Amino acid sequence: MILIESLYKSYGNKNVLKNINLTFKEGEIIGVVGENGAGKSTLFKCMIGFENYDGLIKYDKGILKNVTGFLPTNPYFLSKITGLEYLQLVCNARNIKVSDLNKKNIFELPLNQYAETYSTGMKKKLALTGTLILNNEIFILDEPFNGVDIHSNIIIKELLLKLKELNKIVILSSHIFSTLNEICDKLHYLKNGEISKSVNKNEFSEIEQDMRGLEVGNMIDKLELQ
Amino acid sequence: MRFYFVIQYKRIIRILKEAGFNPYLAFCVIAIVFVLLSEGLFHNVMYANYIYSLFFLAFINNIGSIERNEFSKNIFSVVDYKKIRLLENCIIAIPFFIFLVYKQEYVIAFSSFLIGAVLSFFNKVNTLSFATPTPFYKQPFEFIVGFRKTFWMFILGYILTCIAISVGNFNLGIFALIITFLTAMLFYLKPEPLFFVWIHSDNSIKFLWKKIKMACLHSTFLSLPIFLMLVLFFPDKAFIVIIFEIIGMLFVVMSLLGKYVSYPTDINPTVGFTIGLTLFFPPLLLLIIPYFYFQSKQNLQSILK
Repeated sequence: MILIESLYKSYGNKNVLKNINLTFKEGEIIGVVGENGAGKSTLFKCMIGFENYDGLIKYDKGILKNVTGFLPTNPYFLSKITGLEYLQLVCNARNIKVSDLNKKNIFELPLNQYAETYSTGMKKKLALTGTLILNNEIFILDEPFNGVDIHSNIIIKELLLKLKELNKIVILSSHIFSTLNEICDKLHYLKNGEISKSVNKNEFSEIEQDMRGLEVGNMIDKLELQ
Repeated sequence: MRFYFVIQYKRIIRILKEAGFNPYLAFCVIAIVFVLLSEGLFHNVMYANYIYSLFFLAFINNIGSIERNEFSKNIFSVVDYKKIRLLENCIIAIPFFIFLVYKQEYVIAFSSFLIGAVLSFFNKVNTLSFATPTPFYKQPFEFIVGFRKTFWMFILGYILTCIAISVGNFNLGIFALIITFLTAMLFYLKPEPLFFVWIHSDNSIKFLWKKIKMACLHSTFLSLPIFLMLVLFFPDKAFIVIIFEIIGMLFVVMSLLGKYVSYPTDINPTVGFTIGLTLFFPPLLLLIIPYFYFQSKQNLQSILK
């Protein structure tokens, strides 16, 4: 279980996360939703230790970072590294031996090509494969469905359900409510750096309504499109 | 179009400020270093005029990369884009041109300038379509990336060694060995994104020792052909070759540790200055390596818990 208590994060005078209190249990898929800039990625980065913070983040089974697979919104790849070498690199980093990495290539990526030449969706799939081959206990996935084709989206959904079945902790962010409805057990709505609402499966539409709330009004007129 | 150059100027100023330099002072230092290096090349190396011109053209070719120019190509009209590229290449050519004219290398100065200007109409050849094979596939990182970017430097080193042997010039062979280690040092200049350190399950001590082991193994591997050839053909000077091999390896280790002193930010000016100082006075390595090691270990502790 991961416990977050009174988490605060600020950049200078700007408070990005305010008094976050959350619990993530094994065998659950938890969604974190919110408008762009609400603080979702910052929350994830605090959890994995990329960012300093005030408050407590506790994992009851050891060092969180060593059993966490993190998928950033825009995965990082070194230049001049092939897909296969990337997977080898992450395995080496965790001291994990995989006899045949090609066998783990479920998204059928061109692993002998430089990862930097991959499309957005391919990069995401490679990074996701990297998190999956490391036998992680926790998965923090920042917008895993973004830029990924329909078929791969279906595979990712199935994968997440399999991870839940294996009693892993899965935390993800997404703007696609139909997908969240299908896979998540719980949703937390992050608004202006605070958890404004936490709901169970049958109440997701409440958050969706809240997020749709902003009126378009005369916003577009301001552009004076010609 | 004017705004593009204003923005570029502002970017350079910001980069220098963020690195902790006074930008105007840095411009002066860069100019002095440029003149000193150019003078050094002309003073010490045969056919320096051609090598100098090649350096310039390689630099020009590099700024013509497709990725770098995609943005300006996308937002400017075709004519403005071409003007920008031409102007950029000419601005970069000016210091090289002035120096060549000062050295009375008029033909090379004007032809290099002209080729530089013509290159503005072409993009750098895209070499991303196939992966260059390397011997480091089991430990993919600094050496695999670095080797793919600079493999021609090693080829140059091996060719120089062959020339050194054929003309019986031992010093040239040592120069080739130095080139190999200096190139390997460059592999550690740029810090990797935080993710690639964070993902390690080892603590900072184990992490650093693994890195040191790899740096020693891989740099030995790359320098081995030169080392063996020199020992074989200059057996009476084998001891000197061994000393240079060890010092070279220590320089690579220092460069590695220097990267992690201020990680995840770029190598800080003090570290850069210290590395530069050590290049002029290698015995300092014995002090700097342990110092960098403890600094890096401490710095990485917050990431590698």
